[in-house]
Amino acid sequence: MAKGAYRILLPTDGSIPALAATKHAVELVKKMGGRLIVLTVKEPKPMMPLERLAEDTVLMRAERFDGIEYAKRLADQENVAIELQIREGSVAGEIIKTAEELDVDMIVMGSSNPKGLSGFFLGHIADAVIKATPISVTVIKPNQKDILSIKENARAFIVPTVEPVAPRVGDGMKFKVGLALFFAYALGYMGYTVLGAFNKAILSIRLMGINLGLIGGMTLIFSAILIAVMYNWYASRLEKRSGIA
Amino acid sequence: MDYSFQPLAFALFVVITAITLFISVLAARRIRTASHYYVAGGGVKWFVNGIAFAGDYLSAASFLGIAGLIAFFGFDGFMYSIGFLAGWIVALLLIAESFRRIGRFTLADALVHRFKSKRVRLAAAVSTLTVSIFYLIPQMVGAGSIIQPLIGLPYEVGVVVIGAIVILIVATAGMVSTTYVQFIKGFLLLFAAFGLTIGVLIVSGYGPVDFVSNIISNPEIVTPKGAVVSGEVFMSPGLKFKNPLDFASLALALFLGTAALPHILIRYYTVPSPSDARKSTVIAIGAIGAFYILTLFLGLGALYFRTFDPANENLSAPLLAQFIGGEAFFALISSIAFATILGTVAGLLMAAAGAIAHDIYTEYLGKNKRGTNTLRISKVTAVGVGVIAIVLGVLSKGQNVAFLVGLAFAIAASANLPAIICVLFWSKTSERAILGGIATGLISSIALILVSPTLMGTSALFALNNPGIVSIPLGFAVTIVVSLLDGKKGQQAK
Repeated sequence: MAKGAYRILLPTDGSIPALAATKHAVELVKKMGGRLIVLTVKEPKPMMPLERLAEDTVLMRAERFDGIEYAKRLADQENVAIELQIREGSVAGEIIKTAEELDVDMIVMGSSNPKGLSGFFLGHIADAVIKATPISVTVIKPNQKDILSIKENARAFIVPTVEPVAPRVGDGMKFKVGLALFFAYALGYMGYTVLGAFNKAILSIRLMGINLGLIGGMTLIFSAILIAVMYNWYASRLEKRSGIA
Repeated sequence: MDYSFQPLAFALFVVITAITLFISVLAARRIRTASHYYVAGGGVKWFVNGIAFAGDYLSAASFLGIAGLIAFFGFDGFMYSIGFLAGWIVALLLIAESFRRIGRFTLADALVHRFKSKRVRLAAAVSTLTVSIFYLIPQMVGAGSIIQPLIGLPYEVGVVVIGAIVILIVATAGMVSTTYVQFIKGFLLLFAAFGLTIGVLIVSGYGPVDFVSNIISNPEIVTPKGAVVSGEVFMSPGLKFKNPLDFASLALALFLGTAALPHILIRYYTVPSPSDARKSTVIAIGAIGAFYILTLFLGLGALYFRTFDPANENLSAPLLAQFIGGEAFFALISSIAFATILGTVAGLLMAAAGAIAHDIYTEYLGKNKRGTNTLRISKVTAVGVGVIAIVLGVLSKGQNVAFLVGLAFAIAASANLPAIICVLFWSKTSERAILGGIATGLISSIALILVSPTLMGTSALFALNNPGIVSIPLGFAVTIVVSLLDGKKGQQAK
């Protein structure tokens, strides 16, 4: 292979093993000449905050480093050509897909190697990638000394936690429609409850083989579903029109 | 009723439960490790979350409790189904998107974004903890109940053993991926209710409307408690709620409680955007609504085939399954009930652990800026809260789980909802008002439960079983009045 055409894919999530892999990959590209492709995959994973915390701890992401910034700076120092890729999807799947699409020569990645039950729950991304891709994979496992030195060096890249800005809520057409639907439903529910509490005779009236009480109850359940679907349709249309998600 | 150990059913129960847990883990792993052709990708995150909402919400109360209440009290039991769903309308139309826009970790985070007040944070954390414990009690009662006919163990042993297993799973491993447990469990529960309903209709030989109509037309129904009433009376209000205000109080608590439950609120932070929060809620309403319609057939089915235990309302659905599908189906339904309890307990322990580890330990006491300690504290919290719930669960023997959850709803609606609504929508809300509102709602609802007929029998000081109709307006009133007074003071000071 001609010098200068070597392409390495480096997936990074800002975890300590990924930062170790970054260092390795930059050195490798520098030696071989070529290009470093830095990939970050955003996981569309609905997680509760504690789940995220638990996972970050296991995967050595407890301090959130900016993996891309770290790679950029390192590549800059060593004068290595770099290209950024940001994808969304399943982590291993996107790594494999990107590697094939961009026709890279090697994947260099870190392994957090989560152990025990956590490993069982989370799975090993590096294992999954090795199994499913025809491309060579170099897996970096940092030892205790590496971890300490990376923490020291990467301090400048800790992602600051951003305080969310208090937004304005309660104005806009969507909210008004929601409020109107809410009052309509609340009124129906209240009427039903008052009848059930103080005028049972009406709910006992037979109708269509069953009684008004059951028909009313079913109507409340079905209209809740209907209101939900209608409101969502309306709100999605508004969002599409205004282009705000 | 006497129960003996059923080896086949128990073995099946263990196998099915293991498979369920394994599938949950696999689903969570897949998303991370499988290659692209397996995975649905980013487009369905709100769908997963919506079903997970349903999984979080449909607890032992909905499955075991409501079926029992309908079998024992007819229409009054069905009111729980109606109210449990109606609460989601409040969540969807008023809370979901606004709540997603603010806050980032717990209920307290959402409330302090306006005031930056440590005291508000502490109050919200205490309230979260209290509601979670009250919600955990019925899950433990459900756990003790299902183990009885399965192994023949006494109720108390069942609560302790199953409770301990559930807490162990959640505190050691489960924190890594409960969302997928909820997701799988939500599906399983719908499947179970649907299967049981089909079974009831096939075995009885009626269509859905005819089946209900047949019960209403029955001139003499012997209720599980031994009373004889006509079908018309059974399917009208008043069998359980002798006092009309008790009916109204429950209806109010269920309607306003859902949107104030901490374990439901924190799930809004799991989706990336407010519109995803809304879409998740819509999916949840569809799934939960379908489930509650089916509960009518589960309850009436248990009555029709007389598959109930007069001493334990919560066993109506599992015993119905045993009658319809034999030991295998019984084992299947029991393990789904177990998965249901496991999933809900996981969500509740996460909410409670978040309140202690994040709000009190990290933010209020200002300790530790690193995640590792927070994680350790949250695991310890989960175990501690779980043990409290086990003890209270043993003490609550014989109570219906849906009734107990109704109390948790009343506390949540009284303590949390006034604060949430006012912080979101009313700019005049003051810090003192939030503190006063949470304290008033929390203390009044719990005090009224303590002096209610549930705990004091005939010598009760308060006539209603559910405190909602008094404590919810009281919580709102204090929040609003104190805000107005503070506003006036502020103007005079200027």
